[in-house]
Amino acid sequence: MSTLLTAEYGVENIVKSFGGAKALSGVSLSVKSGEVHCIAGENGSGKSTLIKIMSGVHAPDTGLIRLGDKSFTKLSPREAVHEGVQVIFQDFSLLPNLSVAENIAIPTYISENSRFFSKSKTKEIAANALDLIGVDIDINASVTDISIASKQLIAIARATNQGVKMLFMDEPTTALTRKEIKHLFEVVEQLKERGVATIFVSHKIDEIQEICNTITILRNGEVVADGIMRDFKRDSISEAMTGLNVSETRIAPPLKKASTKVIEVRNLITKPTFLDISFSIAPGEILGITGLLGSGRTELAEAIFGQYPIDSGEVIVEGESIRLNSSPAALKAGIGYVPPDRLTQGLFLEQSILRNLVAVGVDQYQSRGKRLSKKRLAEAGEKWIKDLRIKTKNSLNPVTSLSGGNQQRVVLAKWLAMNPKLMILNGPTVGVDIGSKREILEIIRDRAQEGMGFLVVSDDIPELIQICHRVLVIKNGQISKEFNESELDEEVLYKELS
Amino acid sequence: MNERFNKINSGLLADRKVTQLMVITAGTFAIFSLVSRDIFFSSANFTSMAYQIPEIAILSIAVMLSMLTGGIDLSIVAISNAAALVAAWIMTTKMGESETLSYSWIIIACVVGTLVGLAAGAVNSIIIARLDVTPILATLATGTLFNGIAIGITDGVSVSGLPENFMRVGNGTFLGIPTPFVLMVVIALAVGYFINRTTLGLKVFLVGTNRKAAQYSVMGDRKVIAWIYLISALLSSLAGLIIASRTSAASPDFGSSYILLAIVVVVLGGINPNGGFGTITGVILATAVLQMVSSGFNALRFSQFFYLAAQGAVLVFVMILNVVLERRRVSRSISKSLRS
Repeated sequence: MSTLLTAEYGVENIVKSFGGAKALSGVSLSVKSGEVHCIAGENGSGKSTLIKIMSGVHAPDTGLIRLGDKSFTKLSPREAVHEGVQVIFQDFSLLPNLSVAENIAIPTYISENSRFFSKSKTKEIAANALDLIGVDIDINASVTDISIASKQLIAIARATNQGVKMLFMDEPTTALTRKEIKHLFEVVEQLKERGVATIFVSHKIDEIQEICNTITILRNGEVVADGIMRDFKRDSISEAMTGLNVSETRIAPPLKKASTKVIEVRNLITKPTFLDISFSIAPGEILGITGLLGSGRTELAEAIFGQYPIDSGEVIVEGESIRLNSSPAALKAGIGYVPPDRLTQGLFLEQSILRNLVAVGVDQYQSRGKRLSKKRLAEAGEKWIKDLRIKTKNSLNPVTSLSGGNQQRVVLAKWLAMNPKLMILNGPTVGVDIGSKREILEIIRDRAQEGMGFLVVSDDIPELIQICHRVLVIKNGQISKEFNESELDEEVLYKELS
Repeated sequence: MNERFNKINSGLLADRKVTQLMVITAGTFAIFSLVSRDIFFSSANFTSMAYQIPEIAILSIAVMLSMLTGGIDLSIVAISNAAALVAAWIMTTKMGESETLSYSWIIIACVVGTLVGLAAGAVNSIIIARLDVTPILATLATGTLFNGIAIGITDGVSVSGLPENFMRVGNGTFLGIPTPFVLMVVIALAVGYFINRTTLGLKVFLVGTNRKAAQYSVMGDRKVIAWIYLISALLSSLAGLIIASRTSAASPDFGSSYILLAIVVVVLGGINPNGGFGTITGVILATAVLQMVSSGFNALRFSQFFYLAAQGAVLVFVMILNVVLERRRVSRSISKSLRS
């Protein structure tokens, strides 16, 4: 395999509007082969539109796409692939019912226009592709049975096999352990040496700093800063992204001494997900729980709320033991739960903001004779839109018309309306921009000060350090370590995780 | 000012499908009235339409309710016939040789018939809400089962010769309006109140939009679904009794084509087959449109075979229109959210 000569890939003055609203207004960027470039920006800054334009999914209104020595005013996905552009999406776009080998080899068959399929050829193609990036994965395994990190490597192998010259990686490290990230970066280094231009889309600033040579920061569809990575500091990146000076200092309120507990969880066991988990939360306390994907952190949160089976154990809310495996019992005892995926679990997407806001406590809004009081519904809607500063002109608009941060506030409001004693938040700021994230954390802080207990389950370590009084780390279904307020430190927590 | 405009605007948007249907209804009416001034635009025709609309409208409302939760009830006709057969059997047995029957026995017969219908609905509720069987398969199976039991017991023979005073309900008038039509209006208002003005009704829309989110919101999604199949069975039973009263007979294989017709009506009426959206006004208007097309074709002496094609054409047209409008709406809302 010959190394490519230095070539440049990029866009010039790209403008793209969707029905009158500008998603990108005059964006230019350029990546040389053998370089790792970072695109950073909040949700809605135009990152994904840019990827879609460069990979031929969307056509730009005006502007030029340059791929090596060719320029395009309009690019089809087929042309993009032909020119060596590959995108690894967050879901990796693998076919789950097929084997590793088949997943890697199928695009090759397609590009060769081959009508026949041979098992031995498939294995050969796959083995070569994995060899090329120096990865060892069982090619006969089914894709469903392998780890997320392996899936990602397969996606990379598949891309290189198609003669990748420019590779996009969209938030590639979200679900990986530290060790796996390190391995991924080694593979990226190899691609770099082979002359691939890599574009890395991420919001994890320390990782960007580690792997990228150059950076472009987008905000509201414009380039607000670009240059060599070394010239940027952590603060200047996040400031450029948000346009605000958002600090990540701790905002957890001082914890008052309390003799009572909001909740006590004793010896929770569900084999094999978790083995003997016990902890308690005091009024006004914010307890963080973290762990890697598959450690049991999500399941623990769901189990307390009765959405994941518990084999044995005890959950005590304000001194009273509650019935296990029952969400109605949990709700009645005063437990609220914001699930991790707001699109599929939290929201009724096409329904109005108002209906979403009242979804949990619908029965509260009936007057005598089971009649639904429209007036009380509207009042409640207005109150929560105002209290949580949800940005909308009309509560009857569908909840899809809101940005991610505002949608998350709707889910939060739906549960705050029940005034729970314990609020379980599973990934409270996933897919929320930095400005909104700060405001959501402040909402949590304010409620905690009023005495609401919080259980925050998250993989976002800086966020946990910002808001929590205590953090538990879960590993293989057990609490591996507990960190007190004075022991909270990013490095230490990351170390405990991996 | 702006805020008020927004409110009105979104209110209209919410009922966009109804507005669209009103235009279609008025247009259909105008065209047939103009083309066939003496036959279609006559009180005799209007009266006959007013007797024919209620049955299919009530069955369609039943289908609408299950569709709002994202399911479907294919057993409505079987339940409707079962209720009618039980009631008819009690009446004919009790009346013996006479032509009338005391009102108390008629009421008892209707109540028992309805209870049998409700029992059938309870079977659906258990299978769908409790055991999580897909509604389309569950009700296809139970519908076949109920129908099979009815055919087995009656040997497939219809029960006819119902009491005259019972027939007066289906063929009489109330304040000059055909009684079945009055009953339909009452039922439509009641169901409208239920879905728009009760908490259970609101839950129906939410469960239909996203069952998973409903589970996480602890609103008792199973209970909501169980209720819907019970209410669907209740409406089907009432439709069955009205049909028996109008035709003076009950038979296990009556109106087997009604189930498809009801689905056509519901989809034409703007109910989202995936659940979560729809209005009762839409269903009533859609029934009226289809009945007018049918009566109009009769008046113009077109072949009934072509009526079927016309019905299909209306459906295809509306579906395409819905998809096109929906696409426009989505792209607009995307641009709107980008702008804000």
